[in-house]
Amino acid sequence: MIGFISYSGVSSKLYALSSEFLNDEDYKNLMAQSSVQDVVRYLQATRMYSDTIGNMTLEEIHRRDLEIMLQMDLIKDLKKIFTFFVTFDKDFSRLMFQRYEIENLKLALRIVLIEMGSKDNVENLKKQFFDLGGKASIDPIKVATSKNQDEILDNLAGSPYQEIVRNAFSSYKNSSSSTLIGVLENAIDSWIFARIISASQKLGAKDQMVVKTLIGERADLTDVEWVVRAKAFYEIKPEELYNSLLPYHFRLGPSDLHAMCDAKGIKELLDFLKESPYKEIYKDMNEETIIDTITIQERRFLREKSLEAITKFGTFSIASFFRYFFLKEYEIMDIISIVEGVRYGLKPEEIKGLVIRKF
Amino acid sequence: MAVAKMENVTFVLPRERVEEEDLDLISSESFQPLEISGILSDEVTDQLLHSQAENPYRETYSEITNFLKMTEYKPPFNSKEINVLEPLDVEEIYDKFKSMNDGIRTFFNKKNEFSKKLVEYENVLFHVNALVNLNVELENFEALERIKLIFGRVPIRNYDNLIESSLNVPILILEISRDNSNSWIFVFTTPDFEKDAHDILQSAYFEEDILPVDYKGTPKEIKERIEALIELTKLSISENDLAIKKVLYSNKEFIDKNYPLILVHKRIYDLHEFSSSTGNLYLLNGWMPKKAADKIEKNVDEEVLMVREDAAKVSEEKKIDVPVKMENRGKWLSGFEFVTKMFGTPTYGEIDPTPFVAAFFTFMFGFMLGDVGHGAIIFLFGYLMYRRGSKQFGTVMMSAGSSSIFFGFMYGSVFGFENWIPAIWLRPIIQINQLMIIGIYFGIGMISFGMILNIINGIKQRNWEKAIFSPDGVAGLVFYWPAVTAVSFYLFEGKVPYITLTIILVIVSLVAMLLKRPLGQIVSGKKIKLGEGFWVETGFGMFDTLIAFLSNAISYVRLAAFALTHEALFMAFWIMTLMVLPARGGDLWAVIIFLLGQLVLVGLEGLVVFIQSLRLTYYEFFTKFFEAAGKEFNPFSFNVENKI
Repeated sequence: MIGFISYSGVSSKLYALSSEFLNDEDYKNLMAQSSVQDVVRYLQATRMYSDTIGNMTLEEIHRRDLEIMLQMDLIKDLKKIFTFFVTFDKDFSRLMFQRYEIENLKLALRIVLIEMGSKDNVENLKKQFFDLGGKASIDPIKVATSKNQDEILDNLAGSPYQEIVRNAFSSYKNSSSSTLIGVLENAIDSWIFARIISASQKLGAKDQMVVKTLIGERADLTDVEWVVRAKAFYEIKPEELYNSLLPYHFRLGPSDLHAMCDAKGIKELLDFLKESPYKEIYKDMNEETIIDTITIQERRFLREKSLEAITKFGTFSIASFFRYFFLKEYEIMDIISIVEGVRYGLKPEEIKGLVIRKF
Repeated sequence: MAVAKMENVTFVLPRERVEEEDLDLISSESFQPLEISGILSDEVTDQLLHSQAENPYRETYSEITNFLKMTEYKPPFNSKEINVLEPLDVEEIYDKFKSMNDGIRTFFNKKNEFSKKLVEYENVLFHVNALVNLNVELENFEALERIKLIFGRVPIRNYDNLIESSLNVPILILEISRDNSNSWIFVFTTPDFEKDAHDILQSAYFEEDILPVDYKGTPKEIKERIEALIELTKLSISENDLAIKKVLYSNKEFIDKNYPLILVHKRIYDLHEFSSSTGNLYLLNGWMPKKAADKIEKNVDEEVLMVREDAAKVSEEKKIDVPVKMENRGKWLSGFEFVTKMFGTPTYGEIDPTPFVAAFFTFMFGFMLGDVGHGAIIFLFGYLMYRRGSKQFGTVMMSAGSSSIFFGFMYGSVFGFENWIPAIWLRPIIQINQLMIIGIYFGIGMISFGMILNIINGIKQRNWEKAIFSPDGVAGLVFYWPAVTAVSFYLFEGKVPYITLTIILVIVSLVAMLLKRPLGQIVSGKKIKLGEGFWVETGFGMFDTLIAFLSNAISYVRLAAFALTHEALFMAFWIMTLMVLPARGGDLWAVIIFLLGQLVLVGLEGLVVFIQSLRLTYYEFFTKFFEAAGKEFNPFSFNVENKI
């Protein structure tokens, strides 16, 4: 009943927005385009993206620019949707925007620490960041133009990120910049994660369950993928690997995580995964194919879960929000994959293997 | 009453008069500057030089602000004592403040540093305290051969993983305390595993905190050492503070004399930046209330030319909004400005509804909550608010309380008791119908009054569609009054007089409302343009209007409803009080229940009735006429935080 009251408006809004998702026909047409310009032109005519990329100039489209524009379209949706969350917890809704803010922060830190890109052109710099307007708690440009670690910390003053970055700087004070980037990104990711889980405790019982399931499954799979890569490419102590995992898991318990971290080589890990709660994802993989296919297979699995979310949890819960939000995220990833595929002249059939959506 | 009459004023002054004139304007606190290019035509503005000179006092002023910030001192300021023509050696003042700043900056930085350290030490002390309480003999940590001890913190989110990951290795973790983001831990490990332990800890974002003192000795001794260090740091802080204060007080006279001078000159220049010059003469333009302009004009020097123009005229010609200053005489009325402002500021040329708000709000509050006792409590509450700073809200509450007392006598109700004093007018609980009818007719009156105000606004703005043909204009009234009369006669007498006339009036006004847009265009001599979807829009609009006439009036039934609620709620609590009285210890319970009931009555009902009165004012009354699209008048003053 409470759910019915709080979610009646927002669910209908989301339902209406959902009708604008690209359909199978759109996907086929997009994959059949012959140039990136044509893909963008096609997208400009869709109802979903025409508002944001309608005025984009077609010459010299950069993949990164297009990606940012598409993400901005999602942020625009977020802003729109949250005005419908009349009775919604403010703390939680702010976190949804912070997910994008931390992307800004990561990019800014990269620019400072490993001197990626040029700092001189503020206009160019501005284009690379998401514009969160009044929802922003840091100015990414300011962070990106800092000269050293102390200045970064000064420019983060007053935001929750200052403590995370300070902690990472201080505990890894003797590491190289490139290690530091990884360390920082990991810390920031697990921070937002822990925040989302702890903020969800203020929601109703059902919504808590939704957040724990949907976000928890994502966390499980993110960590599985990370452990697989770590086992394949790095020499990391099991204890250190364990410490680099996310702070919350849904289906994987401590004993599962120990088994994964302690596994000697990919083979042992894969054997474990084939018995794990997520066995259906990994059942067709072998030692050779796992590295190449794990990302797409996991995303396909998560997309299916998001699609089912409403049937599982009902329309009048936060599931309707996550369903829309995640599906659009995957759709944007797919568009970018298609753009890449088209640019490298792949055939539609080949591109099909790269997109998350199933046909 | 109403909105203060504004004028657009242009001062034309020779260079040597600028300071004095600007000072007068800032002191009067009734001048809002405006870029002159917005007022004059382009040909004229092109030939004007914009005064672009850098504010010569800015640097000095920022030095002074720095100094004041570091010394935490606020010099006295009185603009009347200042003579701007007195020669002022800015360079010298700047140099002096700069040298003072240089003198105290090191002290200030040291003070900050020590303050930071103090926080750190106190933190450590807290953790060492925990160690003392552990009651473990940890004498001489460094010399321990079998066990290595590491002290530090991990982010809370990494804590669980750290515990899990160190299960199979020789690491023992002891959590001491947590703050918002970190968990403080002691880590015990073996000497040969120390390096690995550091790697593992690092992967959990562990930060080692090194104790600021020697590890040697028992935890108790360590604790004493840190406490001594804290005392020492505190002394260093006050030492530096004294050094700063010394500089401040040895130069106090100089600072007190020059701060106001520099502030005034800086603000004069800030204002001067709005002016443009023809070379010899300076032009400064802005908005001023008429009264203030009259006052200034009397004192204006002969060399200064003051051009005054009616604000409405300027606004219409140049398409700029006039800032609005609400002006209501007396503390009572101006107190209610806050109720109006919560809704919006009136547009220039619109009627300021504050006086009507004051009257209606006060009446409705008392009508709904008529009780001598509770009214007195609300009045007292208002008085306290008035004293404690919130003057406007206090005024509103006091007048609400007085009205409540007045209606309390009318209804004969004191703290809910109906039989203590006789009712002068009626008893709500008995004469329910009468009360409801009074409520509705009051509402009809208030709505009609709103429509009349709308007509006046429309005539003032020469907006004939709004004044004559709109549902809130003459057409609305011509529809509303015959309809109300007819319905009233039908209900009370059973027959309607002049029925044909009524029907004709109703139909004519309905048609007028339906065609308000084209009719308005005809009257104001414009071409008829209906626009897309006109008929659909008008049709639904009409439907909405008719419903609104009915529902708005019925909305006022709440006046009677809340008057009734008061008695009913009291009865409920009174019956409960009487019920518990015979029980054992019943006296006490009765007192508690009675007092609780009174609290609910005055608190809850006070709040609800306050909201209902606001709602009736905002929704039923304001929507009839009040556009509230104005911008508030924001005069230039010495207060630097003020944006302009």
